[in-house]
Order: sequence, then C-alpha cells, then structure tokens
Amino acid sequence: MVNALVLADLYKTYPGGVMALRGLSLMINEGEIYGLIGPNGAGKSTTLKITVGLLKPDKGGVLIYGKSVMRNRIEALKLTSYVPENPVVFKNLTVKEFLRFITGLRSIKWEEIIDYAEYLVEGFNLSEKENTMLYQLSRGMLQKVLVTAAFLVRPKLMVMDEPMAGMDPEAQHFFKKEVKRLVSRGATALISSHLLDMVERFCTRVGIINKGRLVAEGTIEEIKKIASEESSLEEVFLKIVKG
Amino acid sequence: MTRPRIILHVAWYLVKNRAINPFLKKRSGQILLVLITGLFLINSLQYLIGEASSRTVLDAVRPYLHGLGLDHRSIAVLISGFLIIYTIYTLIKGKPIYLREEEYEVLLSQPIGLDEFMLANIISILISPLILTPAFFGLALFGMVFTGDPIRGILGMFGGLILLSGTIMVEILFKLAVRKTGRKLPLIILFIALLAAGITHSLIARTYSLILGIPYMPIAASLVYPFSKSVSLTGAIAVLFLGYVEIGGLSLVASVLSRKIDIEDLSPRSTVNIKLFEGGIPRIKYGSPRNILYSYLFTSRVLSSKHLLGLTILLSVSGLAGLAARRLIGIPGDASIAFIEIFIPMMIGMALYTLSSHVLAMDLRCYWLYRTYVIDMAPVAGAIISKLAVNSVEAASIMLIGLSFYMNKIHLLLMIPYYLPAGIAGAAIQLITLSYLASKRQVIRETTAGIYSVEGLTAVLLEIIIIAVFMGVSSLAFYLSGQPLPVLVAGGIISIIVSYPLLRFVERIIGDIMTYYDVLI
Ligand SMILES: Nc1ncnc2c1ncn2[C@@H]1O[C@H](COP(=O)(O)OP(=O)(O)OP(=O)(O)O)[C@@H](O)[C@H]1O
Ligand SMILES: [Mg+2]
Repeated sequence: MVNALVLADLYKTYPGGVMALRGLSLMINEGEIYGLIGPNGAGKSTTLKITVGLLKPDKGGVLIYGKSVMRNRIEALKLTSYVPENPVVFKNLTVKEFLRFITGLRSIKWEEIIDYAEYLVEGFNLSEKENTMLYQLSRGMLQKVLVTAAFLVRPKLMVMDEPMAGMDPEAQHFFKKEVKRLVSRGATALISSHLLDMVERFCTRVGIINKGRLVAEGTIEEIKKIASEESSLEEVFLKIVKG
Repeated sequence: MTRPRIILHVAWYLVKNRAINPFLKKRSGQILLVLITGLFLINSLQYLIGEASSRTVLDAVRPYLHGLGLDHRSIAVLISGFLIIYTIYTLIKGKPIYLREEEYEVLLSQPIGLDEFMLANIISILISPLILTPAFFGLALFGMVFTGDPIRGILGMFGGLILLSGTIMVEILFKLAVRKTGRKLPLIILFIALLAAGITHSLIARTYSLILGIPYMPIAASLVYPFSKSVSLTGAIAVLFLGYVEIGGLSLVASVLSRKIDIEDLSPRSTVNIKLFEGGIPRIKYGSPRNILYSYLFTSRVLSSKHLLGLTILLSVSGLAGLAARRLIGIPGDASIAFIEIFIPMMIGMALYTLSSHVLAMDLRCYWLYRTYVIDMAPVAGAIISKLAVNSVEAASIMLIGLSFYMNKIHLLLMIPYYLPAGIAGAAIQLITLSYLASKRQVIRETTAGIYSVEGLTAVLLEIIIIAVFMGVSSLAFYLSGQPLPVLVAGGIISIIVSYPLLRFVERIIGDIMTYYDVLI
C-alpha cells in the first residue's frame, strides 16, 4: 500500500500560548477518504494547515507521497489541493478568472480541463455565476467555488477543512459523488468535519482528535468497538471525547 | 529555483484583483475615472490655449512657504525625515508581513515557492498603483492647477506613485531584514542616530538639514520637485528617474532577502486582531445595556492605557515641535500665519478622517451582533459618536498645543472645547452614511467579516466634509482667539453645554436609522 500522507509527531503552540497540537501522528493510504473529527478547538484546522504548509510545526514533519512539505514545498504541494476553513477568495476576480488563476499555477492548460470545469460548475449550479465577481456570491456559493478549484487541479491528495459547510443538500450530494469518483481513480482525501452522520456513511476511515491528540482511529466499526457500544457514531464520539 | 512564468502569472492576477477589476469593472470606479480624466483634459486644454489666468496657486502660496523657510528642497528633506521615522516604526514593530486572507490561505497553499510569491507581490506593488490612476490622476489635476502646467501635473502624479510604492517597499524591506538577520537593534540605532543627527544639525544651523535626506531623498524629492518652478522640467524628470532607481534598488534588495523567506514570516491579517486583544479584553461590569455598550465601545477605548500613552506622547511631540519651530524659523509673520491656519487644520483633518473611518470599520465589524442582540441601537450610535468626537478633540489639542507654542499664543488652548460639538456633528455624518450603506448591503453575506468602509466617490465626499468641518471650527477658533478672555471661556462653556443635548439628539436619530431603516423602507 502507498502512503499518501504521513503526519509524524506534530506539535504546535500558537504565539498566544495555546498548545493546539501535542504529538499528533497519522497515516493515510492511497484511496482512502479519511475523516478527521473532533470538538471545536481540537486542532483539526491547525493539522490541515500544517499539512499544506501554511503553518510550521514546532516539532514533527509532513510527508505527501514521501515528499516533505517543509523541505520540498513545491513538489509536495503539486500533488495536493486544499479547501480552507473559511470561504476566503480573491473578491475582485470572477469565478472563471479565479479558476484559471489557480489551475494556471500547475501548468495545466485551461483547454485540457475546460470540459471538466464546465461539468463541475454545472453540477454545483454555478453556471449563471461564471462571470460574476466573487464578492457578489453567497457563502455557500464561495464554498462551491473553492471546492471546484480543489477538484480541478488533478490532485493526488485533497485536504479539505469542513468542505460542506454552507452547502445545500444537492451540492453536498454532488460533492460526495465527485470525491468518491476521484478517489476511485487513485486520489486520496483528508476531510475534517462536524457532520457525524455524513462521516459515518461517507468516510472509509475516521480519526478522532481531541486537545491536539489523536484519541481514536479506525473504520467506523473499529471505533464503535473501542467504545464497546452498538450505537451511532455520535454517541461514540461523545463518549470518547468526554473520556 | 524561481520560475518566471509562475511569478508573472501570480503577479498578473494579484494586479487584476487588487487594482484592475475594482476600478475598471465597478461602476463607481468608472465614474471616478471618467470624471477626473475629463476634468484634467478640459483644464489642460485651457492651459495649452493660454486662456487660464497666468497667476497660479503656486505663485500665491510661494511667499508663505518662503516665510516658513520652506522651499522644494526642505520639503523633500522633511518627507525623507518622515520616512526615517516610518522606518524606525517598522523596525520596532518587526511584525511579520501581513497578507490578505485569500492571498495567505488560498495562494500559499498552492505549489508556488514563497520567494516566487514575494517576487510577484513586489511586482504587483510596483504596478498596482499605476493602475489605480483615478486617485492619482487627481494628483495630476492638483499639480496642474497648482503649477499651471499640465506636464508638471503628470510628472507630479508619477512622483506620488514613487512615494507610495517606495513607502510600501521600505516596510517590506525592513520587515524582511529584521526577520532574516534576527537582529534589529543595530538597524534601529542606526536610524535613530541618523534622525537625531539630522534634528540636532537642523536646530543648530537653523535650516532643514540634508542629513535627514540621506536615505530617502530621491523618493521624497520625486513628489516635490516636479511642482517647483525653480526646478526645470528636465531636472524634474531626472529626479523622477533617480526615484525609480531607488525604488528599484529597494525592491531588488527585498527580492534577494525574500529568497530565504519562511512561512512564519508571513501572516494573514486576521491575526492582527488577535494581537490587538492580547493585552486583555476590556473588563466590563454588568449593568444596563446602555452602560455596557458605553463601557465597551467608549470608556474602555478612550481610557485604555495604550491610548492615553499615545496621546501623551503626541501632545509632547507636538509641543516640542512647536518650540523647535519657533527657534528654527522664529515667530511667523502675518502672511505665514494665514497660511498655517489653513494648511495645518487641513492636514489634521485628513488624518482625523483616516483614523475615524478605521475606527468605524473596526466597530461595525460586529454590526450583525448589535442588530441581533441589541434592541435599541441608540446607545451603540451614541457610544461610537462620543468616541469619535473625543478623538477629534484630541486631534485638535495636539494641533493647538504645537501651534500655541510656535506662535506664542497660549490663548489658543482655550479653543479646545469648541471642537466637541463639531466632532459630534462630523462623526454623526460619517455614521449615518455608513449605516445607510450597510442597510443596502446583504446583511447575510456581510455577517461576521462584514467590512464597513466607504469607497470611491462617497469616500472622497465624506473626506471633504470631515476636513471642511474641522477646518471650519479651526478658522473660527483662530479668529476668536484674538477676543478677550471672558468671551473665549464663555464660548468654551457654551460648546460643552450644547454638546450633551446634541449628542442625545443625533444618537436618537441615528439609532432609529440603524434599527429600522432597512426593515421598514
Ligand atoms: N491564529 C491563532 N492564534 C492563536 N490561537 C489559535 C489560532 N488559531 C487557532 N488557535 C487555537 O488553537 C486551538 C486549535 O484550533 P483549531 O482551529 O485547529 O481547532 P478546530 O479543531 O479546527 O476547531 P473548529 O471545529 O472550531 O474549527 C484552539 O484552541 C484555538 O483557539
Ligand atoms: Mg477548524
């Protein structure tokens, strides 16, 4: 099996003094949809930001397909796409300009992906907004634009921070279908989420993070076994996190 | 390894997002562009045909400037001196370089080198101002009316661009230098020594010392020399060329330094706010909603130790500057006084507008919260207006203390209360404009990150109004300061007494607008 992502012993303390990560390690294999769940402030976003090189860990390292994000940033990030926690975008670009901007960074020719781009834009009901400037879109629409960009760049590893926040049910459905399709073709996904029932039916493996540490990990069934309970993931989650 | 194609790609979209689209694709930007360009063209035709009056503003202003010992060289030296102070400030802060959220989160998570990003960023900083010409065409227009020469106007516009890009580049360069060498003390000492030497030499020699011009004279001169008739057109062009050379040099050094840049040297702007509250969130006692809102929005800000310290420093600096100026130039003659009394309030008014629009933008970030949880918006409006009014009184005190020492006219200090009602009126106008605009924006879209600033034409109009109000009270104050003492005191007391009902009145009206306007209309 190929390791798509290795996070090794990550520590991170923010300038204010908050210890966000305290020795977090995890390994994701190619073809997995890995759900990272945990309460607010557990360190999910911090983990994902370190994964894509937006933060530097105090200790520990990140390998994407064996390439270190710290030492070999460009090569590692060429394989990766990222959806940030908040829908921040280049406000004064149109949807189309934004997509061309992001894809152009990877020497992907626009002509090669234009069909796929149109398919995604249509799937997310954004066709009418193609030439609208991003500052005129709603939160959910921005989220869809960011996800579209993350699909478009032919990623091997998709790192997504609560990607379905603000999406309507139709868009959520399309999103999950598309992630599954890309994964079936050799991609891998690391997704943080609060929507437990979504994770339960969508992810192939789940990690529960609390106070900067991974406190449980496995397939849904394995995690339920750890908690020795025949219940919903929600109850298991609450039990593990509350101790 | 840097990849030119990627750098240009990023630079192009940065320029597009920062400068091209906001102006050329927005209606207000287009209107501004057409308006100012049109004015410039019509006016320059007049000058070319020779129909405009031959006496220019410059001719009118020159004697006053000379009365103050100012010529193009000394003004440039002063600007360079301010750039030295800015450098010291940058060095002391030594913070990371702040980026817009999207540039950090979306762009830096893409496969581009951080050095590549910095190079693209530098290119965009050098180019974007060129595209934001409406504002700068205004400078060309000003320069033309000022000197009576369209060509000098255009040259002056480029001078303005050079000063703007130069200032940003100075900031980036020294932030990089601090992060890379890890030692900022030697640099701080160097620049403080330069500043001290320049000031000492100026005071002893009773002139604006060229020492102050050492680091930044080409950049500073670029803005000033094109406007001076004692500099020939070719001379002005040569100065602009030198200015560009200096900026090029600064950018080059910055580019080299950015090769070793690290992700921790960059930071999204939102972290600035976290830092703001690191000193502790204001402690607020329970009480009526009105008391809580006032103590959060007004008392805790106006009486914070940081604020009081800053105020004390500015008051002392202004007083010392007034004394120094008296020694340097002597008590000014009547003509110069007339000029000072117009020019200084104008500058302070501008600074006040910038400050208050910033304060408003910060306060209204959580407009949605007030709208959701506060039943009556009047105390919100009242607290914000009080704060801005106090700010304008403070600005006036800073100005008047310097001027009273300089002109040896201690009566001026009695005029401070006069600024209170005017400050309330000015703040009310600003807040009404903003809450009206907010009512037009989609509240949902603008939720937590809502940005309440005015742009384009509205901003220009608002700025003019605020400056006019400040200048108006100031000329009243200067005029009255010649009156007998009892008159001054009585006027001050009346100002204070009037302020209270005025505040309650505008607070009621604006509170209602903020609560109901978009709901009922
Ligand atoms: N820029 C920052 N400066 C200081 N502390 C921070 C910063 N960002 C996050 N933190 C702190 O680090 C901890 C982990 O935050 P993180 O954003 O990783 O949590 P999360 O699991 O993503 O939470 P959520 O579910 O709310 O998104 C929290 O205690 C948070 O307060
Ligand atoms: Mg998070």
